[in-house]
Amino acid sequence: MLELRGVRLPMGAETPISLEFETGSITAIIGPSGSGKSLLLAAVARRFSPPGEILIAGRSLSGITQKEYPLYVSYFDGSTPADFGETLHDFLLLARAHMKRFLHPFGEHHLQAADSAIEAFDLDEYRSRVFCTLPSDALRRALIALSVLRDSELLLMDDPVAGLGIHSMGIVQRALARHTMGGDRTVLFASGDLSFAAQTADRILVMEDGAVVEDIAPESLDADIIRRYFRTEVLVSRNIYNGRPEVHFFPGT
Amino acid sequence: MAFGFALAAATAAVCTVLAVGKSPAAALWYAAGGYACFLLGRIDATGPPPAPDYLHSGRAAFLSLCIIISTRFFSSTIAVFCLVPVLAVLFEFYTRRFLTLGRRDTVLAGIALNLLFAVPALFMLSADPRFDTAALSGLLSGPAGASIGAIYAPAAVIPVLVAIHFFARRAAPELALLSLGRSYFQGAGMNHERARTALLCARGLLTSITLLVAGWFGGAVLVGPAPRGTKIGIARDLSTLAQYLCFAQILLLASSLAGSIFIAPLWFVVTGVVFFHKNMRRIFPHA
Repeated sequence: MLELRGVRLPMGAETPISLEFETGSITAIIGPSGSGKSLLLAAVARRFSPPGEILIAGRSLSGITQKEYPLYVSYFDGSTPADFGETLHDFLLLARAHMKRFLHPFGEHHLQAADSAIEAFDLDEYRSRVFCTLPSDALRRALIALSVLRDSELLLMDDPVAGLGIHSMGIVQRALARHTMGGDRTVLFASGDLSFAAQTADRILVMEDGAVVEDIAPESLDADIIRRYFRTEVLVSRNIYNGRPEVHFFPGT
Repeated sequence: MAFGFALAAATAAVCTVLAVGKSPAAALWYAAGGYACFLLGRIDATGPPPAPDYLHSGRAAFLSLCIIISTRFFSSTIAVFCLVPVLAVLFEFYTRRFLTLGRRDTVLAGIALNLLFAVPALFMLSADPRFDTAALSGLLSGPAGASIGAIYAPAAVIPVLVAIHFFARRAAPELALLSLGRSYFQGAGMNHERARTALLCARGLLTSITLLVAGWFGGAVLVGPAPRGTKIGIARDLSTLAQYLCFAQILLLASSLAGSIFIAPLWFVVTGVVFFHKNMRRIFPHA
């Protein structure tokens, strides 16, 4: 689905990034602050053009037209539109703008898709509320819902669960699993929450100074790796249901 | 129901205007002015609120100065009517693209431009005995206030406005996306630069139509109902439009009775107070 060939981020890492991402997979990028997680996502989202080649579905990123782009990529960067005065439902409907004909109204199936997203992200009580008046947790969920609702082949998310409560984290985790369930949608997200990354992803990339230094299965995330790259002592336990790592801080350290 | 009341009020306002001796052309001029105000509000709703209206952003003052200066060079009214939209579009591009003024800077620039307009206007009124006060009155209240009897001009403007209105209704989702910002608009596969250029042209065109048709009373945008939303029903849209028409006719009546040189500054102050009362915290967050 996504292929990076010799991509060099501006940190000046010696080894360029060359990776392949399978269709239907969920990949998490972790790493200390400034390691290049967000930059890598921004490069795939065409926010800037680093040296190297990025291919999506076999096509060069630079060869994809502006009109085609939302069919391939949806990017959640966490930015909140200021003072947006539409209702939540109308806001979510805008995610489907690239699927309707210019100057034509949204079809019934788009309305239903927006309804389904409201239900999936547990936003029913805010359906008719003006978007900019939503509580911060619901607002972030709505922004994530918008990027999922675009239904692009590749979903990029920069720290999707930052500032979210435990209820919302569960919702986002289930939504991402559902999004990739059909096997034709791929998710790549950066996260500062290592437990969320380990619980949600099928694959974890660890970044440092603009390079991918570890490419591991979530089960392999352990205290040594975290100590090496994050310079933090942690305790890693296993989730009793799926055996995946859960990261805990030592009290007082 | 709301549409019915608003339409009845607008009709009553038109009848009153005609009853005090104004020509049907004057009523039609103001109907076109009200319509242009309404559409300008629609276009401005694509930006984050508060969007300083065309009085307080200084657009009206700038274009008025352009009209005063260009009438010295061109004797033809049609030439002036053609020049003003071009200058309005250039003004939009200069302030939004080149200077990229935020709302606070727009308001400060607006105050400066309004002062700049007030000084030559007052100078010409008091110091120059040849200056025609009727011309200034026409500038403030539009052609209707200046009793221009030609009915064909507003009749020609209204179809243009209907076309813009139709387009704005159909393009409501795209305009809403544009208001979300570049990343959202481009994320939907549309060209942000091209859309913004078109929007600036439309805003300049509507500003010039509003000033040429309704004069400074076009500040009705500021106190009118906010025409925001992607799914505005036709009834609500017509109701809002009828309110604008009603409002424009009431302003015409007031200017007929009290004189536009008195009403326009009063209107400017009232709308300014409303604007700053509503938006003080947003424009000057640390005030």
